[in-house]
Amino acid sequence: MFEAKLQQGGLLKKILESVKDLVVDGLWDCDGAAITLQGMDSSHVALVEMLLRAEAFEHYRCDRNVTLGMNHNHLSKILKCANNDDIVILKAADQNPDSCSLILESKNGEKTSDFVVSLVRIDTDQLGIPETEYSAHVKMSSGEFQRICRDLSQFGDAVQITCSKQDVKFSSSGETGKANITLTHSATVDKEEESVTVDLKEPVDLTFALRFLNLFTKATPISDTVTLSLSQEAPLVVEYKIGDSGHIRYFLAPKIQEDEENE
Amino acid sequence: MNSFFRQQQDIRSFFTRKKGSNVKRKWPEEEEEDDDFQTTKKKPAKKKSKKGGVIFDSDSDSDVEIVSVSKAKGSSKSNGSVSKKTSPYMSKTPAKKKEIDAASFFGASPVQRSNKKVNNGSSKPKAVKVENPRLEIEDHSDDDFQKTLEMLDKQSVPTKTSFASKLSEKMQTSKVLVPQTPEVTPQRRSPRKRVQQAETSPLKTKKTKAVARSQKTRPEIKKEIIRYSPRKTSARSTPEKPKGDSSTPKKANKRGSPFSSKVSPKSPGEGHNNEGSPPDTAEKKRGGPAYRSYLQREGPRCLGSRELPKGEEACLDGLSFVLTGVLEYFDKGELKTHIESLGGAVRASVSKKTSYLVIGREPGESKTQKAQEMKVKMLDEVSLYDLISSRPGKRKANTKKEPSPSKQRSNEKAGTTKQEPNYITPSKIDKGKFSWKPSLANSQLSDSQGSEFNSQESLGRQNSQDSKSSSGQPQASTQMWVDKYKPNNSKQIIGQQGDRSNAKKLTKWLQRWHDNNFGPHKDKARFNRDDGFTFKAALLSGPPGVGKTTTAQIVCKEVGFTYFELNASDARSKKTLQECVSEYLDNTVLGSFFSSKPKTKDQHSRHCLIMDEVDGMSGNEDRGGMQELIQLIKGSRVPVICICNDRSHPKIRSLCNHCFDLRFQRPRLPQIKAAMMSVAFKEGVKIAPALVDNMIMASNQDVRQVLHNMSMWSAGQRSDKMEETTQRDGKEQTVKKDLKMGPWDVLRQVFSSSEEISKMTFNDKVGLFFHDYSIAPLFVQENYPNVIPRKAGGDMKKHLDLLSKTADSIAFGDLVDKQIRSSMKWNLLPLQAVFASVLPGEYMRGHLGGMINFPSWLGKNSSRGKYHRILQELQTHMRMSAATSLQSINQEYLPRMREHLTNPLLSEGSDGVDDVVGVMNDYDLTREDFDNILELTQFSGFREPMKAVPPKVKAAFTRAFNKSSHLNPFSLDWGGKAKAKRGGGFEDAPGVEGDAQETQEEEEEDDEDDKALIAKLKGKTTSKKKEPAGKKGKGPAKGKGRAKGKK
Repeated sequence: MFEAKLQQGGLLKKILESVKDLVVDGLWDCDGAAITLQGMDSSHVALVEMLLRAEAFEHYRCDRNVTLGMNHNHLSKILKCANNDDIVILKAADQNPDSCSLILESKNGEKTSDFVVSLVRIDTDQLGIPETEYSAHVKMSSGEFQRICRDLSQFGDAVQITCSKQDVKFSSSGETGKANITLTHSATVDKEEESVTVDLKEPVDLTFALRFLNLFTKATPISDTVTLSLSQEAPLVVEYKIGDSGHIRYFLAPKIQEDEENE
Repeated sequence: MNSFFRQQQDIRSFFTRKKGSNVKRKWPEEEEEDDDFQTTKKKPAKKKSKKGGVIFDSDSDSDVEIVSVSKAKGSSKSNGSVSKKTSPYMSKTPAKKKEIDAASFFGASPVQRSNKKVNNGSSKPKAVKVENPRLEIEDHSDDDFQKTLEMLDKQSVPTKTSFASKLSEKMQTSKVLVPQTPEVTPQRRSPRKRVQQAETSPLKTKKTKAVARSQKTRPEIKKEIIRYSPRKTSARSTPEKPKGDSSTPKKANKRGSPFSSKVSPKSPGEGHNNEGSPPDTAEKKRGGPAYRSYLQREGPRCLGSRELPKGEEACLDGLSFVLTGVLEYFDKGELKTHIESLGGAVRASVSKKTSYLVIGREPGESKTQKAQEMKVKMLDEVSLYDLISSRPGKRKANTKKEPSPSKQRSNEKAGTTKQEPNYITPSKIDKGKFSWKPSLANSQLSDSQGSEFNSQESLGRQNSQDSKSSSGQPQASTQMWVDKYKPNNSKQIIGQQGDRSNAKKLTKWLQRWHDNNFGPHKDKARFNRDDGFTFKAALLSGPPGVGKTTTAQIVCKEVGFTYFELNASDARSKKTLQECVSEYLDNTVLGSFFSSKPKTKDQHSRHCLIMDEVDGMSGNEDRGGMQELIQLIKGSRVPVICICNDRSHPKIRSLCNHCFDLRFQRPRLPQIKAAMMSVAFKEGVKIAPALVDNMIMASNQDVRQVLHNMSMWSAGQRSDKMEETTQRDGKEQTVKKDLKMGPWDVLRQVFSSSEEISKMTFNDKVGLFFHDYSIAPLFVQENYPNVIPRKAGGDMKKHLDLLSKTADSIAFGDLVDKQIRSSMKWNLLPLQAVFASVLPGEYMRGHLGGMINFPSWLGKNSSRGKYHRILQELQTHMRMSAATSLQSINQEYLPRMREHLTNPLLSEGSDGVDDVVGVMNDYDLTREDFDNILELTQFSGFREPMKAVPPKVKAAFTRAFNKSSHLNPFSLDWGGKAKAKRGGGFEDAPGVEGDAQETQEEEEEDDEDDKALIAKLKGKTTSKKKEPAGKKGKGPAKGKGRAKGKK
């Protein structure tokens, strides 16, 4: 029997919004400690990994590990019926569940909505994500990041991220012209959320498709800050923390570099 | 009587009959056979209760046989046996009564006591000669096969025809005429057993026979007496089985195998009740009259009037029953199963352990006797039912199954399977019995019985293995052969082994792709090689089923590329391609980062795109897909492999300019054949090589198709009898892949003189015409002059002669066509086929000189219509001044007008404008008429006058013409556009133009239809036209242009 009660339904709504555009059918793995979701987009260029620990839930019970294959479209339709302050309860049977039920309770307890969503069978393999040491970590306000991506996509379809000691530069170029946005490492820390931290071991220079970054930034409502981790030979990691008890991580493979092709 | 029997036995014992014949064989036959068989019966198989009366073998069998015999009206034994054997499901119902008339019953032959002797005698030689050959076939452990063979032989034996005589024979020869059913059972099986053993001494057999009969009643505890149902017979066979499990298999097909009883003698172990013991013999002999009555008793009298008594689960646990006599309400087998399902055990003979003896009508003597001796409780039917309903139930005791050998019937209680396997296995191994496919769902275990269906051993063997392993699983879950034998590496691809094969080329191309396109030497590469290395994309084209997709995938794998495949199942419109694919082509992929092996930098970008079935990118889903693909290829950083079927499709033509063109040929027959034979071997299927050849040719060397055909064929084989195999072989010949050929291919075949084509029958040739009976004659007419006929042999005169004949034939064809279309006499189509296609083909057979042209008749026809219309218009316009017929205008006026209209312009330039305008006014011609006249009178080879006129003059002429107002004596709203323009030149210019435009448009519409594939643009007329609504031109450029215009 799997049952999880989440006090703020809004959180689930936001999580789903941030995932559903990238991954249509996701495998939600529920075990005793946390719910994880992993999925790749259709072209295998981007990967999203979500972890939500049991602490985030008011009540969490998982007798056996279940894997729920959910169609995110359906799920989001259901969650649209929920208010942000609703209580969301997820339930699923233990043995090979073929459907999962969601119960939404309004805050004052007067309205209860009950949904049953059929599960889908998904036959994808999960990728094992190794723990890598990244050469550069950039922490910034998530809103800022979202704006940067949006602005740059006016100019081109790819962004080149260059990290150096003190700053991080985002550039994009296209028919209309070029655009560069540079963020410098904040000297003073006025507001945690607004500061920019650049933590560098080696300079990094990579290009990424903006289309995916714009999809990633849909998770902005979840957290105030976003952390980008880069390394020359590794995909970009965009991480949004969910409170204290979880995170959403997006991985994006870099574009093929022009000069890298002298092979 | 006794002495007589003894005599018989002696004689028989001299013959060693090797093979067990098919016990199921017709009853009378078996009688003879059995005798012989018994000789060979092994000692161990003491139990063989084969007595002269096969009769006992299966009550039901005999009964049914009787029935069938009678049905056959005393037809020969062989017939009867055949019919019996081949009817898949003999009716289970007991003793179906058939009408028998006296004559058939008693037959025409005189009644003689000695008949039987004669019979026996005759059977001996038969037996002898049949036996020996069988001996050699020993390695065939397929009993069914043996059976079949025997049956075939048997058929040649003349048999008595009358039912009565047969009966009497049986009666007389039967040693044990005891009504006990148990006896019957073993008999059936005996032949089988004998087969297996194949070497008994005659003497022994003699004895065994006698013994066997008596053995029937032997407390083969496992034996089940089932009357009236042939299937059940099988159950009986169990007894002798040392493993004791044989019965189980047999039982399996309670309902199922019609031949269960035949098969019963499967298990070698089953010592058929061939052993006899002298005392028993005596007993059995006694049963003469009783036996007769046993045979003739009826079935349940009130069948169906009661429902099976419902008892609680396992209420009969621990109880064992013996059923004897005829039950009134149920079929014995049914009841037996029911009892078993309730946890009870039904045994074949009475012993101390028997809890109850259930007595029906006309019970067997020995059973009742025994019961009395052993103080077994006797119940009648109704009491039994009461017992069942009243007993308290218990936990299900599945284990019950084990001890009861006859529990083949896989009851719904799961787990039987698990318990049973040990039963099955030994029998299987011993006999090499082959399990039938799980079509008999219940009888997964009934393998040994299932094998009845098999005539092909090898098939069966395989099946049995499968079913063993997947106990309880339907074998249908095995993969399709095409998946099972899918190539995993490039060595396994059929037809791609050579150095210059497409697979090799593709591999090289892929390996060098990065260097060629992005490396430092990329420019150099372009110059060095022409073999496609400069392309960013590759196009694999070819007929279906030759290995294109497989090659692409395997090559990618081998070179170390991951690939992303899009095929006809995906939406590949411009938009979706942009979304999904464009990023892919520029990006690295995550998979490479997260794999276990550490990768070097350059390996990160090792991925490619496979666009499969690219010629399917059409329609709404894929709108704009092809163009988008081409754009993507141009800018791609990643190799793209496109796969299509039809290289000459217009859409593909534009694509292949950007692609490395790899054409896949159909693999050759030896290549496919080799692979297929190995597949057949792996599957354990025996297929004649000639048959494989046929299949390959029939499928047009499409490997996938051949594999499918083979798997279908082999699946069918498993249910066929041997005899039918040959028929099937013949049938295979007729299995042809029906190809829809395009008119070009049809034409090639019509005129081709290659080997295969010349083998076409008349009907085949007529069939060619019918691929498209509307356009085929046109194609022939268009292209026949280009063919260089074989028959001419270079002789011009002969060539011309042939041409002339062909032309005549085509003309006749056209006449016929006219009749068909005008009077709807469609039954003349074949006649037209002959004239229009077959005869020309015959005359002009040879090789085609050039390209095959699309019939120009269609275009010309529409032009004709157009000109006719224009002419009419001109005639109307000119009516005031030249009131003549169309022909006259066309032939007399127009040529002169042409001169008058153009010469002034040519010679005098701007000064001549007035003259021309004057002429036009005289004849009330409009501006379009001017152009039309010029067009109508324009014949090929003549210069176009207006070309030579300087544009200045043209402009002047136009101005002058437009300036003057023209009062036309005719209205200008021709084609139904409601604008009625009267006179007035004020709006004439645009209005007239507009109208004319519109009218011309409609004409154009007609034209477009006809000019389908002809991309000729007819000068001015086409330029003005608007896109006719909804028309997608078939000409590629035109079509595309139009579509765009429309949008």
